[in-house]
Amino acid sequence: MVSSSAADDGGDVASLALEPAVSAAPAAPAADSSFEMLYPMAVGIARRILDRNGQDLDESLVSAEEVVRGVFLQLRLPLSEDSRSLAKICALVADGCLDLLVGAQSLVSVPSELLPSETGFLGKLPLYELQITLGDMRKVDRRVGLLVFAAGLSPSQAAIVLALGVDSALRSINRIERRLQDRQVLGLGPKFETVRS
Amino acid sequence: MSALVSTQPDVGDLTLKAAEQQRAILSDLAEPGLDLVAAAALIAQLRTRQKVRRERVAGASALLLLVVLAGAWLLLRDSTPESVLADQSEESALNSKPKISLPETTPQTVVPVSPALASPAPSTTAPVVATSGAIAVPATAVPPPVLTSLPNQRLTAQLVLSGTEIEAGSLVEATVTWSDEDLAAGSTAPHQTMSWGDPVVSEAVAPTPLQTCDTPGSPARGENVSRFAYSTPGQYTLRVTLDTCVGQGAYGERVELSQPITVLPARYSNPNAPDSQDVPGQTFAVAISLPSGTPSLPALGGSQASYVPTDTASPLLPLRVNQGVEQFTSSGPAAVLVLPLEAAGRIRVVWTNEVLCAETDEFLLVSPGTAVPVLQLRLVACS
Repeated sequence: MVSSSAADDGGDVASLALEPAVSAAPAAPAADSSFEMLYPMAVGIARRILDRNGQDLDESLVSAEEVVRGVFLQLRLPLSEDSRSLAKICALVADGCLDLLVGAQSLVSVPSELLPSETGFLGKLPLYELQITLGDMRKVDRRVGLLVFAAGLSPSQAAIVLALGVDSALRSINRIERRLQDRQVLGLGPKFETVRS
Repeated sequence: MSALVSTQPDVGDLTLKAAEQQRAILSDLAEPGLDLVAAAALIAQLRTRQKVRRERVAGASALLLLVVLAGAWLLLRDSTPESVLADQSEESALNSKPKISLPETTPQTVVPVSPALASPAPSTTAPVVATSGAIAVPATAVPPPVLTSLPNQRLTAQLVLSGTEIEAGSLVEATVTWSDEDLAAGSTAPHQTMSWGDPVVSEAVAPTPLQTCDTPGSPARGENVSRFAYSTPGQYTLRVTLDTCVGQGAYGERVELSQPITVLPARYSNPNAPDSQDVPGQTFAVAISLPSGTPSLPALGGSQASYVPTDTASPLLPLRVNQGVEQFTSSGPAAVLVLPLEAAGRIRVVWTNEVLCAETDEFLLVSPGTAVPVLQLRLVACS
């Protein structure tokens, strides 16, 4: 059952991987179809990081496409659709979005289990604070943090998208939580009316 | 155990499942309604620009690298053929040969010899004599190496003066140090000529030895010391020429050295009273050649000279005679003596134990600016 499923679902990937080796001529249509699949995904990720709820869709879409164009310029042709390539695209998109969050005043809601009340945020996290916090952290933490806290993916979804283990993603989230809390303790983070209940 | 294995999910299956989930998540996140054609065209255009820019940068970098390499080659290349060594070693006698250091002197020039120079060496105003004025220090010969077909290795020489500013009549010493790794066979030292430039006196010039320089000889080096006393104040250039076979032949050499010298007006000092004050002086060249048939006089270096004033009331003054100097005027061997300014009288020379005495004729007051007088000695009775 499993093997037949793999044959059915993985058939496209296998054929895409083999086509350029068999004949170089049809590479352009294959690249086009890959682009048609990958580009909207990348723009979707970027747009959700920048503007999760689509409050300013016109502007966020323009910014998201700009980030994605920069990412696609870094990719080698022909485009590949395998899992590692998708993860790489998502990682590069997250890297490109981080700088665009400088000074972003919008708030994103974060589940309480990801951002405990001890941090003082009470479920609402300013994007500029996330940007400052992630700016000093390692790349993997930055990427997980943007997908989870900004784009609103669950830790397991972020792990799958970035082709990471769930444990690794959770460790990144823990580090981000600690860093957010440290900033609050040091008085570097935003001020709230009621820090603790 | 086998049951356990069969129930464990296969790693490949998990990977495929994760890929499906990844694609599903991303498909859910995909932004709808994008103008993909325009986006693809824009990215293709940017990619083309990026490629052109990279090609330009690469081209400019390659050009810059070429320029740097060419510059480095031009700066660092050694055009002297002697530096090309057959054994590829850095240490060789060949490397050190052309470097002739000349401290406190003008740059040494190695003059290419034209066929016209094959004639005997140019002489000064003095007659050519067989003896050289230089005091030759014996050349130290090194055991001959195994001779190969190496090219001629240049003669190197160095000129050092005891001083570049001296007073007329005072002694100046020139030391010439030379070295040749393949001094022509048959030679023990290069032939040396000294041209001091003085208008009245000069140093003896030894005749050029007749020999051929087609065979390399042993390494040799040596040192010649020459002493000279200028007669006339002024600016002069000492020119020293060292050569073997006047530079002709496969192993012939010719090296010229030069050094400017400033000669100041003479000052008289009493040799018998070293603590006495020097006074302004004037120089006289005293020649000792005598008419033919007359026995020649010994060198002045071993004599005692004194100034006998015309005014008999004035005391007789001893004169300093430079030792170890052999100079010549057109009249023959001579010495430069310094008398007090405005002297008038005669010069008396006495050789050992007053056995042999000579005097010059009476001379009158020498007016300033005139040439240095050359006085002839004649034998007189030692009374």
